[in-house]
Amino acid sequence: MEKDKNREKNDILDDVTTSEYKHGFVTEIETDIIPEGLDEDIIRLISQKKGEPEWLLDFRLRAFAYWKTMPMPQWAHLNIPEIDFQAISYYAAPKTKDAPKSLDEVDPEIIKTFDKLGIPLEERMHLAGVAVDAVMDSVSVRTTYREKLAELGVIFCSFNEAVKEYPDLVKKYLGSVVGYRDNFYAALNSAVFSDGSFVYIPKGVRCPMELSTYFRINAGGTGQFERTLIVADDESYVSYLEGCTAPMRDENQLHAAIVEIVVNDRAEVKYSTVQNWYPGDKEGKGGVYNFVTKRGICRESAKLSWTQVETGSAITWKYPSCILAGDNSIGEFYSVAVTNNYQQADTGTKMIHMGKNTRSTIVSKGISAGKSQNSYRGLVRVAPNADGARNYTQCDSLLLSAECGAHTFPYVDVKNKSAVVEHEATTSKINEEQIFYCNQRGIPTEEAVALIVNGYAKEVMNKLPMEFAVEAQKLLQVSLEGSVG
Amino acid sequence: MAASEQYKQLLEEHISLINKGACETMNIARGEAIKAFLKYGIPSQKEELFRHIDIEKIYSPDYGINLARVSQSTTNDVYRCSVPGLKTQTLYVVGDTPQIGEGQEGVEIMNMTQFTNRYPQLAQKYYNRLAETSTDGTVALNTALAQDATVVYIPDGATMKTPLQIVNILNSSTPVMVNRRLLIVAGKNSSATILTCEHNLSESATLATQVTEIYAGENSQIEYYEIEETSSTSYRVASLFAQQEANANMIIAPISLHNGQTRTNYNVTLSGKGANLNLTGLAICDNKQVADVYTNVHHSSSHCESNQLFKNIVSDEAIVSMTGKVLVDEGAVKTISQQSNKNISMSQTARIYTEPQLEIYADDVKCGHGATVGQLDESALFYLRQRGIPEAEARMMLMLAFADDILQRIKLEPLRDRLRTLIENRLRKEDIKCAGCTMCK
Repeated sequence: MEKDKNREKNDILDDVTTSEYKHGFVTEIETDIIPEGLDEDIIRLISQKKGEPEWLLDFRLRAFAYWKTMPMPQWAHLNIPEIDFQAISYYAAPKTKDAPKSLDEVDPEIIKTFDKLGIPLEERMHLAGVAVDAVMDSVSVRTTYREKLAELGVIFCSFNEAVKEYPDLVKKYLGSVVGYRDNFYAALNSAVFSDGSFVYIPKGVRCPMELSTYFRINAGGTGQFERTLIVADDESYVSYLEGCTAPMRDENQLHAAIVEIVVNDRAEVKYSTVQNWYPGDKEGKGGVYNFVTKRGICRESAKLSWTQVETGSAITWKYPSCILAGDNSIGEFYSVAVTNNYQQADTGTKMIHMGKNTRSTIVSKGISAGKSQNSYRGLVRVAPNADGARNYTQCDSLLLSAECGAHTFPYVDVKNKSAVVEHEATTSKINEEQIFYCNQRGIPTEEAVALIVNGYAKEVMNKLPMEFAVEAQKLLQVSLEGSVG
Repeated sequence: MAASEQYKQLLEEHISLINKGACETMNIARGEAIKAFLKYGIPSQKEELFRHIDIEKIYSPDYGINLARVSQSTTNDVYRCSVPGLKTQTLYVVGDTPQIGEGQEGVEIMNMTQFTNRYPQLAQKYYNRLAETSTDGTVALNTALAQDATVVYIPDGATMKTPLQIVNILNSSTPVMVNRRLLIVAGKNSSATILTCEHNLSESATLATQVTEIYAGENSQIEYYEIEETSSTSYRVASLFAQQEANANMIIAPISLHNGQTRTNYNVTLSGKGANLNLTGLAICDNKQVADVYTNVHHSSSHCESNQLFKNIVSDEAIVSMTGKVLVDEGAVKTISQQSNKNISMSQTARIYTEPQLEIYADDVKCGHGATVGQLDESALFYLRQRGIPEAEARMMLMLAFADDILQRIKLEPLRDRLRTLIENRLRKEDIKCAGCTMCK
């Protein structure tokens, strides 16, 4: 017995001393990680590993050459620490080997959040990055989806697959909305993008279900430089969901994604995002830097609607935009951005009215708590030929603490006399009378705040697809935890 | 860049001449200003705050500057600017030289030399103290070139009984640049009404720069009106800096009836508890006029209120731009701040840019801003036409109603009435010269 105990002790000691290996040094996927740094050779290597055609490598190299000439943008109301772009590894194989084997290995803090969000067990495993393939039997569900979509001619696959199977489509639309010269992070993404999603909805097809990255085969390991391309052909419709409400732990500090959407004549695309990357701890250490370029182009009578709930990331830099090129096209932007602790967000939209009788609506709700900084930055531009353009913008900010900041930077450029553009913004503290009223009725302050915030964000939440909305509502509550009292 | 070089060279070569024509207070400030100008230069259109006006182009012509202080005195018979029904004390600033007359009971109106001699400590305490904090190269250049200033001193408890009307006149057959300064020091419990009229009779391109500093002491009441009525060849770059102590009440109202290209900056700091600011502006622009306004209202103390309303009527190829920033410091609780910019666009080629901004670092605040760009209300037009009012007339009525919001905020009644007439004449494209004024005939 005594001996056994001793051996057990030794085993534990062994475990402890050798455990470091478990999380990184000796891994079988070593061969699939390329060294840190960024130069042309690295890009060739990435392209080669993916088995990409020549034209795509060319595209990457052109983007890289341009990126080298660009300075890092400083105009946002953000305090961005120096990022060493040479200290990042730009290609890593999917992390199946060092993924946690079961939920017991997952950070208990995350489990707690799952509980609060009420996420089903299987989903939790997937979200926490547990190797789910063997466990989760939703595989069949996915297959059914796939078959149904294929029947309608809808293409929904990973970007890499699309490059191989539908090169003509990808070649035609890649970079057509967000060119590699667009901005610093778009150029970076164009040079090194890892993977992403590709969606094509054929003419006249109404996609029968909400497409979500979550259901896509090979969704795992899209990495830090994601690229999404959605093409909705004439008179089609699709609703696309990105992200999920559960917190995503990620070691990648820098994320620079691109989303491009082409909405052809009379088509409609609804794009909903819930972003909840790791925001860093209470002292503001760590957290993801999220630099995203999202833009869609609307042809005649087309409609593009962006809905986003942003609660995560240490730094968010994101402006989902609509180019209203076709006559009678419509752009919408509904956003809730929550910042807590030391988070910083500079987010908003651009509505570029080019076609006649184009309409756009912007509703942005910012909520700042802790010591966070939350900015709305938006542009409404009416081109000289955009007769009858109409815009309505409303951006409200709610302040929950004495040390946070809320800022609004709207830009309105009008070059057409028939345009009607309205912008309204308010900033105020959470109403103490309302909290008092709730307290009086036995609702504790924290819950009262959640209640008020949810009411405040309702206008945007209502735009989310049902299943998303319920979770997003709980998410708001969780994100603001500890911000009161 | 070229424009900046030009002025750097001018300052290098003629610094002794400039200093000779000015008093010591200004020369001391000049030294620092030159350093600041070398650092900042003339802002280029690439800079965020100057995107809609080409300041470099405004500064680049080879202007003549009256550095040797050649006398430009004139008699009041030639220039007479008056507002019917409003009894004012008039002070003419010809070129950049104030024609100092007599003061008023309790209020002193001086040039810089007089101010320095009479109140050396005050001169040191107030001259350029607000303006020197600016990072705008045009402000530094004004300080570097200005040789005289108009100083209005209202001691503690004093009341300015007759409004002061400062008439800025520029009349030159060759391209000139004038650099004007105005310093208003209002003590505790004082009150003053000041009206500045901007006139330009020049035939050639001119550039008038002005830096105004206003110190509003505790519990003071200041009304400051600015009427711009110049010509299409006039360039104007003006910056106003104001600081309000506790419970100080201030109205700042710039009205631009006619201009060439104008850039105006209004920087107001509400630094005392309970201060109240009303910043109101109207610009009517047509042809190729440019009116570019930047406001920066800084709430650094609690319980202050600021209210901004800017309206523009734009037609032809005119460009109007309004960038307004409201900054609320941490701890400036119970702040109330409203900002609104409304524009009517009358032509396909007019350009309107509006950028209201809020930067808030305190929680217990009520801040809002709004911006609209649109046309006259079609249903209102229809209503009026139904009642037998011809379309042109109906449009006029609606435009006047649009402008009237601004006039409502002007407390000085005769001035309000006068402006109402002038605005109407302006919109009817009639001769808008002030009637009865020799200067305008």
